[in-house]
Amino acid sequence: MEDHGIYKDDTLIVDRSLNPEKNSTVIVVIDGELTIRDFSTIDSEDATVWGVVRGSIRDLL
Amino acid sequence: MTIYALVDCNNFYVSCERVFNPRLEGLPVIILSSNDGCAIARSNEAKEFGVKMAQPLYQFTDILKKHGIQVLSGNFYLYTDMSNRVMQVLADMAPVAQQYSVDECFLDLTGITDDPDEFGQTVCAKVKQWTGIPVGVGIAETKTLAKVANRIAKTSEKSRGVVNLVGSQWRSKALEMTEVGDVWGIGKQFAKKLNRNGVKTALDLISQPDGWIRKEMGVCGLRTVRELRNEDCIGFESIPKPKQTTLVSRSFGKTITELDDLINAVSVFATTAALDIRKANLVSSTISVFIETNRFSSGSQYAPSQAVELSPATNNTKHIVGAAIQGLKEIYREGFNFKKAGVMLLDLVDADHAPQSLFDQRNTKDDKLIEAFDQINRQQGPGAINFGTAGQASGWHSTSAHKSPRYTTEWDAIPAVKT
Repeated sequence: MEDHGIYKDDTLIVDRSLNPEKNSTVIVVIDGELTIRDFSTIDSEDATVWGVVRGSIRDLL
Repeated sequence: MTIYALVDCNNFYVSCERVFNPRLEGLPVIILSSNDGCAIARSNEAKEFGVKMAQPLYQFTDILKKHGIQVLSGNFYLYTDMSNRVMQVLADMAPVAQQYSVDECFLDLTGITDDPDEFGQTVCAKVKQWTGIPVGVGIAETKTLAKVANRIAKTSEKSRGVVNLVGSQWRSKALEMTEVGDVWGIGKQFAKKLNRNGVKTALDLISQPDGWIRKEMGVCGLRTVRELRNEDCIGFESIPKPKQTTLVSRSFGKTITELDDLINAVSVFATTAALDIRKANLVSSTISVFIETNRFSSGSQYAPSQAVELSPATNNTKHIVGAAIQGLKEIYREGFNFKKAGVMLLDLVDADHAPQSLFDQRNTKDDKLIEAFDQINRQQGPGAINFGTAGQASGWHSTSAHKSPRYTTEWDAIPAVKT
């Protein structure tokens, strides 16, 4: 997810009230686990959208 | 004419757990009471395997193993936070939203929609998307009928979560499907009596003569029946009476014999009870403390209680904890294995209308102390700071062996996602 500006240990701000758009980064449920994905790459057959990633917080220390 | 919608969360506690642990979706799940004593919530799948509400855990350990039922300890921080989220979404959808319980809310739909069914579907979809919690909606011209409709919405698949009884020919059918014992406001004991008199369903009930109902069920019973006949009697205006008592009690994970440990436990309960009434802007003039041995064990039994007057009436943690400890010391005896303790605050009245004695003087220094106390605990989490005696000993804390993280209220517990 680094190409989306999201790095390991970032805290994500997830907004469930948004509907995903083509270029959204989303949290989806895959095999019962919360997983981050590019909305355009997911197959809606086996993944349910859990929320849309709105931003992230990075610890600088 | 007022149109009421009752929105009720499906298997609320289980649904909260499933939002953050989607693995539980489709599996039989039960939630245990504090101390892991008995089942207090069940998923539909668990209901089908015959787990009953309030059934003690040891009675169904076989069923759990046989069907792979997932068992979780109650995570009440999570449920409270999720409840607030659901209520906030609902408050935005209608001009009047009246929360009825942790997972139920009445909405006033009067004049805001031409199509209540469609509005109900929108409520279901929005709450589900925004919070992750599935809800059912019952719509009718009285609150009691909205409850009836909601019950059917939950059990009938055809309804897709919404049942609307406004001006509808389905009303009789709905009443026929509802047993009298399931009608809002009719207790189990009374339902048995009605059954003996041949009154089985809500439809049977509404055809009884008013005089008989009034004689057998009183004024409140008659009001319930009139509501079932589509006469609006309760309305949004009737403000529920503020509660008269508040009780905080727990069974201990293991038995306690020492006074110091009891003081710790009772201090925590008194602190919680004081906070409860402060939030409701109430004051109490009597506190009752009780301790109990395990009445199911063969050891010596002792279950005393002691009331202590609080004068002037107060909601100050310092005074309430002090009185609780005073009462406890009077009833404590050595040599017993105590299993449970609790405090009850009695004679609650509105703090602004509390009777004042001639010599009352509000101690403003204490008020400021309590304000700071509440603020720190709000910001840092409950129990961040405490009065000297509360909760340092181990042993009496509840056993909650299967508790999920506080996903929504603790930074370190925010769920991690996979990449």
